[in-house]
Formats: sequence, structure tokens, C-alpha cells
Amino acid sequence: MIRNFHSTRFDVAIVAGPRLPEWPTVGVRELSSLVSKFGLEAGWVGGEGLFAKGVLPADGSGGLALVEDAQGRAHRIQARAVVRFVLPDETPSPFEGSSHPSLLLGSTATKLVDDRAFVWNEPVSILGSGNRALRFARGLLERGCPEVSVIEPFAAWDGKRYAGWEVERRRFEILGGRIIEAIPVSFQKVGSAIGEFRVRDQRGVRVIEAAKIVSFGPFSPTEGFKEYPPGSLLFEIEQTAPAARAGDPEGWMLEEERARVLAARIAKALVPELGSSRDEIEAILRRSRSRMKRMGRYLEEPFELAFTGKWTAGAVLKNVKSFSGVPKRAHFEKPIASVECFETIGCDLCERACPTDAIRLDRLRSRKGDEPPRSILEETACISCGLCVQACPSATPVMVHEPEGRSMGKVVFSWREADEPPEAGSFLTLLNRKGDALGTGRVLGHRPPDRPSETPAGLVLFSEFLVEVEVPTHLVWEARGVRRPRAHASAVDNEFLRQNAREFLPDRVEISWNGERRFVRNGIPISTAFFETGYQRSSDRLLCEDGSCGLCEVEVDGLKQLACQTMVRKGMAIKSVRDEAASDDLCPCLGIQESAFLERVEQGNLLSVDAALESTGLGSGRCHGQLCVGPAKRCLERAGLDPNEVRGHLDWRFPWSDWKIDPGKLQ
Amino acid sequence: MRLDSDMVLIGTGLAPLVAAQILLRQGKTVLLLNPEYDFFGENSEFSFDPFFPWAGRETAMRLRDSESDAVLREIQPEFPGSIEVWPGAPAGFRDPLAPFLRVRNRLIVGRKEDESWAGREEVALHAMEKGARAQSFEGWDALKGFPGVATAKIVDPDRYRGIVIPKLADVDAVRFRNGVREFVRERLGEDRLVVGAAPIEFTTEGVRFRKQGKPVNVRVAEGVLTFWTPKLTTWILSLAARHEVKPSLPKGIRLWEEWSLLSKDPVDPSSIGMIDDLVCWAEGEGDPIETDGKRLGVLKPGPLHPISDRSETFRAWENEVVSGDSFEKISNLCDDVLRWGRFTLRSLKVRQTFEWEGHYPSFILFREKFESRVVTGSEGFVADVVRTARIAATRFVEDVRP
Repeated sequence: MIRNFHSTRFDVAIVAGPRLPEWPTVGVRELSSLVSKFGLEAGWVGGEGLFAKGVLPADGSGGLALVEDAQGRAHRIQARAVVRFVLPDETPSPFEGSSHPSLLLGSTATKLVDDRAFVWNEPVSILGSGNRALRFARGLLERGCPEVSVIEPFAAWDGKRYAGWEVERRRFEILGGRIIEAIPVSFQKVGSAIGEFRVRDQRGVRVIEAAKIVSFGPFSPTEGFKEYPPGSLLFEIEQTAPAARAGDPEGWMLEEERARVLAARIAKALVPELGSSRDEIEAILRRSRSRMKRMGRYLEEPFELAFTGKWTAGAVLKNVKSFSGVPKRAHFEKPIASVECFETIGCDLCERACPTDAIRLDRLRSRKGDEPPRSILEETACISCGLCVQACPSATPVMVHEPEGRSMGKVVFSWREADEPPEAGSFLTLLNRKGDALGTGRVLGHRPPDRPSETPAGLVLFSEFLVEVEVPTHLVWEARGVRRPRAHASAVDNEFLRQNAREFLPDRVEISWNGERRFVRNGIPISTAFFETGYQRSSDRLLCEDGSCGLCEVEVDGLKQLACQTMVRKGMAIKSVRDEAASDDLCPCLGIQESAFLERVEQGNLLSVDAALESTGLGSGRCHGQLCVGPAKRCLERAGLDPNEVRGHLDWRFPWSDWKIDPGKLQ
Repeated sequence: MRLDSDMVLIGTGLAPLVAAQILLRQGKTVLLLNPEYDFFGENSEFSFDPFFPWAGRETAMRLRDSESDAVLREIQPEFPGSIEVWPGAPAGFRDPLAPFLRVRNRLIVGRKEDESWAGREEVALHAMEKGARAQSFEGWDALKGFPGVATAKIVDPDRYRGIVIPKLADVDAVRFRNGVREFVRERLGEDRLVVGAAPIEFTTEGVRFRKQGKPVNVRVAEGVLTFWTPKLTTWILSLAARHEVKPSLPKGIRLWEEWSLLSKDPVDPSSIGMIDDLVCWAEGEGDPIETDGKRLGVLKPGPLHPISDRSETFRAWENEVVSGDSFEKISNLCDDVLRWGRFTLRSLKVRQTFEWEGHYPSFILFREKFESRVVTGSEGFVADVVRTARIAATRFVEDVRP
């Protein structure tokens, strides 16, 4: 008998798909707590030591999830409804050089930044202009990356506007980043570090210098969650929330609301006698849909800034000044927060940070009909503490002081650069909302925000310092960013030095890589060590948490191991097991080209993604479709396949990753 | 556009496609309805006959039907393109995307202490009476050709004995179905091959169904053939009840688990192995030599559920499919027989087929202005499905001919 085989039953199984960086996120918690409220039993499968290996759809609805634990034991979990959390698709559509090792997926690049695996001191191009992409791009600029270009390949569906959160875009542009609407054509390395990234925009092909390309997406509009096939109660939902709300407030809120809607749908389907709960479910659905709609409203009503040269156009400036989040009178007396967050978005971190309730975003949101909008900012209540300035992930609020009849005013910025804040008396370049230099301002000093005795719970500050800059009065409403003068290179140097003077230097150990000696950090995954030492392989592209793609195989001391799952230790001998030739195939694992795939689909008039995948073999390679299914769906959409069908596809094929079981452990 | 037709074919897999092209050849106007999203969701068609249960004269008959020549004779006329045979002549043009008919030995291996071995040998004897060239082996010779076996690690070959039935065929089911589907679609046109047609109802004049949410009424001149696969069971039984027909019911629906394991070394593609109730083969489409050859398919029969419980048993099915027993059997296979030490699971599918007791006659639902028949035997080995479809289509035409 197999002693270690466990069978469990839940009403709702919430399972982690491959490569999730966080588990559980807010959506998981919200979903499980809501379905529990309606009397359903929910179970989570994911996290450390518990790996969902796939779901077998049941005949009818629900399914059977097979799970492996850290001890290699098999578990089977039956569920009447299955919800799988997955990462949003980050894989770019194939172009010449798209499999070059210099092209990283956003999740991989984020991990490398967090781990400081290599120095981002060369130009970087970013594919996709979603919020995560812009935030990552801004982070690179703040860390001293000299040039970051964001390429939006799908201007047709207003990707730039969808990336929305105009403040995020403004922040990125203030720091010197640029957004280009163009389609990638090719990438080719022309030196040891730099490559030529050719993109085609309205004016033709242009060449962008880039050492790395980071692919973020989104590359097609996303619904967030879906059921396939309809009525199966097999759901997939995108994990958009990070571990902490402040990391991506919009993604957090989206995931939370989507999870609520999903929970309500599942409860309606599974609870036969809802009784009085029906009204509650309907209320949840209404509220969440309304919130999501409100969050999406800025897609339809973006606040577009217009400029006359460097200066904000008169009408726009008038709108800015009349916006209810900016002070009207109090800033003549003292620095007052100016919450220039013009769109209705999901984030409310400034509101939560404000100790005096001077900021209340719901005042604007709750307006109805002809009711005059109440002000977001209660300027008389502002105590100039600066917490809102520091709590905003996009550093949108500033504090302005415009003394009447004086030639000089003051603007207080959040200092987000990696190096130390400038000393009093030094000069900074003032930047307008699109990053143009306006002139110089004198630093009056820097200080931490004034924390009141009762700090709001869960408050995360993105910077330790506020920088007070003396600004000519006529620039008080123009200057919304600062940077050190160009000649001053310490920002870059400091970051470079900081990264290279790592505290872990003494922990470096010697390993052998294909017979050559290398010094790498001890105890980090071999894949990360490859990145850190500059040896990149396209097979490390996914940098899995769980080894789910199985691509990064190496030979360690004569045994085949996954580089992402094997930690560096002193003296290990690592050898590559296959050639690292890059390909431009739609499916790099099986060598299926986009043209061949589309030709097959067209010839066969294949009407669903399932049919296309089954007929072409796409997705059955070593990576289990993690690199090819996303681009294949976009190819199908471009080929004119019904987008609803295309988006409706869930990859329930089993398993999501290879499963190694020692038969001895089953006995 | 009116879709009035001589014949309406309803089904989810290969059978209605084959029947459609036969009827088209006879000059009929045909409408093909599939209540599923596409023809690729069908999970009841096998590339080979699993010969389950391996017992009695019936298995010997099926062995004869699975011989490569017989299978080729069966499927070639109904496929609108080339069928490649493996192993075949290396010279000349070979269509790499064509369905392959692979000629492989069937190797039945058992342990010497296994009491059921006599029954297995009896089947081989029956097969030999019908002309099969079965051979029996013992020890190393019996085990060495088993797909996936790590020959260097075998320590107790004397425990095993085996029977080899040479030259049986297996066919690429997906490629075959897709090839026929593309041809039929081209001949019928986009409008006459309808997927996602649900619900389908019979009217006095013909059939009514919804296509992309819109109701469509079709007049039928001659008849409706419904090819009964497990997915259509609930619908067909409700139709039978409505028309007060008592069809012969199968013993039940057999669930199958198709495991795909990853081997460290290439799997020998020359034979399909059977041990206990497991069937093992080198997985892959097309020419086995051209694929990576490291996947071992294992087909394991699951529980049999009486068809009368159909509406309420899927929960029970979940209890039994991919159970502890499955893992035990697979791990025993990998550990005791193949000597892998540990196994890597690559994919897993659940399939369903009917299990009949003796014959499985098709039945007539009603015969009014037109005739509606339900065709059984539309699942299982591809060659059997093709035969069923051909017989159903030709017989129907002969029956209604004035």
C-alpha cells in the first residue's frame, strides 16, 4: 500500500500556477475568505513545499488537482471549482533576435534587480508600457541606469493610455525616460555589452542602443480572469498583486476586486440555497464591478498634458490649478501637499498615509449627478508632514509654497535616487512634467518626513528624505522633478560602487564553469550566478521559483540538475548540457516557426486555441508552453481567430512542470 | 443561408467526419454538427487497440484486426491524403505531417509467478490459430524489447517471460482526424461543419440547434446519424427515453489514465509493451526516430462505471481516477520492471470509452419523415472507428435507397 498518498476534497481549490513570485496574495485571501463566508470550503495549494502539478478537468465541472509536497509525496485534491493564479503573459511576439540571452522577461529582471545580480549601468529597452513596466523602468533610472526606453508595440489599442496611470508615465519621463510607439524588428549584439535594437515606428526603422531588453507586456488587452470552458468552474486569474500593497496598489486592488467577483460567481454556482445571501452576493458583484469600472475610467478619460515648449499650456495649467487635489490658498502661507493625481485610479496610499485626513480620494469618487465635487484635499488640515509625498509609489504629490509677492517659492520633493540626498546650498536641475530642464533650484535642505506620534498602520515610505528646493515663483507650478546637474556623475558612480562593494564579497567561492574558474556568491542559484558573472543563457530566461520550465539544465559534478534550483557551493564543476544557440522560433523548444504555425492554422481553419495547439504540437515542448502559448494566442488573434475563443483558452493540460517521484518514497 | 440537407451527422470525434466524406462521395448533401467546441477535445479515440481485457477469443479476433495490413486496408480508403508507414523505405518522398501507421510488435510480459499467465498464453494460441505469428520468450529475451526498460540495470531477468505478436499497427489519431476534418471542411464549406452546436433538438422536419447563440432550423430529407461517444451519453439517453426506445446499453464507461513519463534514455519504439494491465509505448507522432524518443506513454485502465449512474457518478470517478493505486502501479512499473529508480511525470490525460458485453448494435431513435439512428462503436482504436463510420454510412444509404 502507498502510505503517503493523501486525498483531500474541497469545494474550491485555489492553486498556484508555475513561477508565481508571491503566495498567497491578496486575491487568494479574499477569494477564500468570501467563499468560506458562503459556507464553501476552500483550500490553497501553493507556496513553499507544496507544488500544484496540474489539474485534470472533471467530467462536468470542477477538477482534480495533483500536488507534490516537499517530501516528494503525492496528494490528490478534488474540488468542485478550481481557481488557478497565473502570472500575466510577458513573452514578446517573436522577432529576429527575440531569443537572444539579452532579452529578459519582466519577472526575471525584477528578481535580478531585487537580488542585485548585475549592474544596470548600460542602456535598457523595455517592451510594453504597462504600470509594472513603467515602474520598473523608473526604478532603473533612479538606480543610475543611463538610458531607458519603453517600447509600446501595440499603440493600436492605446497601450500607452492603458498603461495609464498618467502619473507613472510622467514620473518616468521626468527622470529622462522615453516612450516610443514602435514594433520590434530585430536585436543584434554589436559589442560585448551593447546591442542594436531595431524598431519600426511611423517614420520608419530606428535603431536604439540597448544592452538588455526587458519584456513586460501587456501585449494584448487582458480580462484578468476567465473560465474555460464555460460552465466548467475552472478559472484562471492573473496575479497582479505584489506582496505588499505599496508595491503596486493598482495591481493589488485589481486582483482583490477580481477575486471578489470570482468568489461571488462560484458561490452562486455551488451554493444551492443562497437565501438571504443572494442579496449579499449581488451587492458584492455590484460593488466590485463598479470599483473596477471606476479604476478603468481613466482609460477613457485620460488627463493629457499639453505643453507650449517647456511650459504647461495655459488651459491645462488652469485645469491643474483648479483640480481639487491641489491647494488653492493655504500654500501662500506654508508648504502644502499638492496631490496631482488627476485620474481616478485604484491607489489610495496617500490617503492612508495622511495623519490628519486632509486627503480623501473618495470625495471625488462619490460625486453623483449635479452634486458639486468636494475637494480631495482639505488644505487647511494639511500639516506639511510630507508623508503623502513619501508614500506615493509614483512620487506624484509634492509640497508647494508660493509666498505672495515674493520672487522665490519652495517645492518639496521626495528624493528617490539611490545615492545620498544633496546638501543644503547645492543646486539641482529643475524638470517639468515631461522631463525638460527648466533651470536650476537651490537646495534649502533635506529632512525625513515629520512622523506624527501615531503613524498610520501599514504605512510604507518609499524614501527616507524630502528635499526642499528653492524655486522661482513662476516655476512653482511647473517644476515637478529634480535631478543632479549632468556634470555631476556621482549618482551613477555611487550606485555602481554600492553594488560592487557588496557585503557578500567575502562569501564568494570558486566554481568551475565548462572548465574555467569563476568566483561567484555562495548559496545563490546557479542561474543567478550566471547572470551575475555576465554569462547569460536564453534557457535561464524564466528563472523559475519552482523549476517548472525545466529549460536551464546543467551538469553539476556529473549529474544533470536545474540551474535555477541548484545552489552554488564551493568547488562545484558545472558543464553545459546543450548548445545555447538562440532562435527566433515561436516555440524555441520544438523549433516551430510563427509562419508555419499560422499556415497550419489557416489551412486547417482551426477554430480554437486547443485545436491549434493540438494540431501543431505547440506547447508540448520542454517549457510546457510557458514561452510559446502567449505569443501563439496573439498570432491567432492577428490571424483573425475569434478573440473570445482565443482568450478563453486555459492550459489545463497536465502537468505544469515535470514531476520527479522516487518510487521508494511511495512504498 | 438554408442548411437543409439529405443527411445530418452528429458527433464529437472522427466517426462523423469519416461518415461525412463517404456520404459526400455518394452525392448527398451533408450537415455535420458537433456539440463540442472542436474535434480536438475528443478523448475516446486511441492510436492503438489496448486489448483490454486480454482474454478469450475476442481478443484474438481483435489482434487480427490490428494487424498492419488490415489496419491499412481499413483506413487508407477513408483518408484523403497519404498515410506514411513506419518503418518504411527511407528513399523517396515522405510527407512528415501525414498520419503515420507504425508497425510494431506487441510484447506481452508477465512474471513467472503470475497465475494469470496461462490465460494470456491462451489468447496467443487463439491468435496463432487465426494466423498470427506469436512467439514466446523467457528471461532476458522477454524483457529486453520492453519500451523504456533500462537494460543495464536488470538484475533478475529470469523472473519474466513474454509473448510477442509481430506487426500490429498503431495510427496517429490526431493527425488522422485533422486530415479528414480539413478535407471534409473544404468539401462541405464553412457553414456545413458546425462546432459548438448546442443544444441540438429534433423537430418533425429535421433538427434545430443554436449556432453562436442563434437558433437554426434545418430540414432533413433522409436521416440523422448520431455517433455515440461518452461525451454524448446523457443527451442520447434522454433522447432514447423521450422516444421510448430501449437501446442496448454498454456495461459501463471505462476511464483510462494516459500517463506520459520522461525517460532518461531514448525509448525503444519497435514494440508496444504490456505488463499486468498497463500498456507502454514510445510516445510521439510521426516517425519515432525523428522525435526525441524519450517519452514513455503508459495507458492504465481505470474504474468501470455503470452507465445507468452516469448522471451522478462523476464525483465518484474523481475518487478513483489517478488514485493511490495508480501511483503504486506506475511506481512499480518504473522501479521493478523498467529499473528507472524514479520517474518523471510529463503529462497525464483521462480518457473514456464504452465497455460492451458482446455486440453493440446501433439503434433507431425514430423513423418518421426522416430516420434518426444512433451509431455505437464510435470510440476506441482509430481503425475501429473508421470501420464503424464506414459501415454506418453505407448501410444507411443502402437502407433508405428506394
